Amino acid sequence: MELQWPLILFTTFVAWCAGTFATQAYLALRGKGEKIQFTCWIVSAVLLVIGGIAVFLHLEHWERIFNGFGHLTSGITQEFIAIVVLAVIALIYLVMIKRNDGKVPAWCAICAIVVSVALVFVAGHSYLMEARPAWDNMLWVVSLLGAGCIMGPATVAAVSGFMGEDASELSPVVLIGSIVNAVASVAAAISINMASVSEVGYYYDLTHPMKDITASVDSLNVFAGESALMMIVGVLIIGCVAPIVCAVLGKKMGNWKVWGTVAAVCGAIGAICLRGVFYTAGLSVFAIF
Amino acid sequence: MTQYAIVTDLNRCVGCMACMVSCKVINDVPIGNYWNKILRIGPYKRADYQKTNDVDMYYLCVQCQHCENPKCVDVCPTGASMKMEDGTVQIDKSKCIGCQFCAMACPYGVRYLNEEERVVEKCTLCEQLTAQGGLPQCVSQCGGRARFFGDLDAGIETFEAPRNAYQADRENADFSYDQLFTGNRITVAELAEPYDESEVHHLPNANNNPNFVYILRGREWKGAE
Repeated sequence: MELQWPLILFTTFVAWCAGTFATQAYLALRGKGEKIQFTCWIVSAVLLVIGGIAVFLHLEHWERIFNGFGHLTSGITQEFIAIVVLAVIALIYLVMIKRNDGKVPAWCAICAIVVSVALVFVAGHSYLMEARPAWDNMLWVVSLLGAGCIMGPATVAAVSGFMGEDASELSPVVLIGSIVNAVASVAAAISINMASVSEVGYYYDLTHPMKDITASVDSLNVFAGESALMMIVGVLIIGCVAPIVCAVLGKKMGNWKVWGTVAAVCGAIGAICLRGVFYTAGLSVFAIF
Repeated sequence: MTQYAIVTDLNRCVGCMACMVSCKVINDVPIGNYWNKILRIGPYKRADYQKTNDVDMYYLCVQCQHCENPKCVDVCPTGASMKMEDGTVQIDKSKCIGCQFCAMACPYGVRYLNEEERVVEKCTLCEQLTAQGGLPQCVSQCGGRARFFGDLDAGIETFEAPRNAYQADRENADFSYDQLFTGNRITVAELAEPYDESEVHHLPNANNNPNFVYILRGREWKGAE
């Protein structure tokens, strides 16, 4: 399947937004980071807006967007509901920040974490389709949560660094997040290699006369062929190893301005590449399509 | 409960592509899009393969299978894709936002984006014809009399195709093709060679329960069901 860039960017930025929002809520729960709360909130909101713009570019008739959203079995409807709920919680959260000088009540912080996780879960869940065996695995949802676990904490650590705040509270979170992301990304990628499709041997599609007559299932091997470069360089080296290295260096050197930023950007590149691998492997259960 | 579908007798299909072309003509399907397409499956070695010509192949007509449990309907955010009372899956194009999740959720690659109208389209089972008692165009124009239309609940033996080929009524200056899709019918029971249950197939099922039926006698059906 062709890479669906608007959807790749949407899911990545949603995970980034949710990760950032959940991390600042985590700090609020721990009674830390009052001074960075507002900035983090803005960053999170900007990330959501970028994701929203990206997904609008995917729609052919965005002006009909309010035609529906009443069809609850649709992943898009569920995503829309989750985003609205997150937006409401985020607004309440903002009011709390402004009213209490950066202090946020525990109930509000917990709501923020729960709704962030829920949004990422729903965004990932939309793509679990039995028609595409490589996609139909909960590990893809976990991988998106993993992406949020590195991009969010790294972003908040970077914001702390830029604002001259102590980010030591976040050091273990960034490290754990980077490890969770690495494990989840690799597990999701390996799940593609385990997917099986219905093969027919040689075939000829009269609508694609120049196509190879072997129904190739090579795209289900992410470590070879079309996906290999994206997988090895983008996902493994940049997306998995680099953030762990950044987390260790950030913890050791304390310069989160640099290491937080690099970790977040690498995490985002890794997440984008992993979604690229995901689409490349989007072969139908009827291997011809 | 009605469930309209098409039965294709693959042993009769000659791969003439008349179904594919007539579908494009009657439904104004854009260039590059195919609501109905022909695949050649094979050649593949027979089970008793000994010499190079011991091979088989067959043509497979693929279009919307008007599934029992259509995943395209489940994922549609606006309800544009819907399962109708006659069992067909139809698209209300005025509701479609062009998200194309339906195309992703379909295992058969039969949903296409109409780039001019920016909505997703697919086989309608020629509802404009069947609603008037006619046959889908791919059935009435089938060059091998391989395709039959009917209601699954009545059994595939009752599925119908035109009895005779097109004949212009020159004396009355009637050159219409109406004779192909109203009246003038022959059923699977009347026309098809005998077959048993093991020779009745469906496209691979991704829990969507495709309704179209393929009959293939004496050859190996390739791919899961």
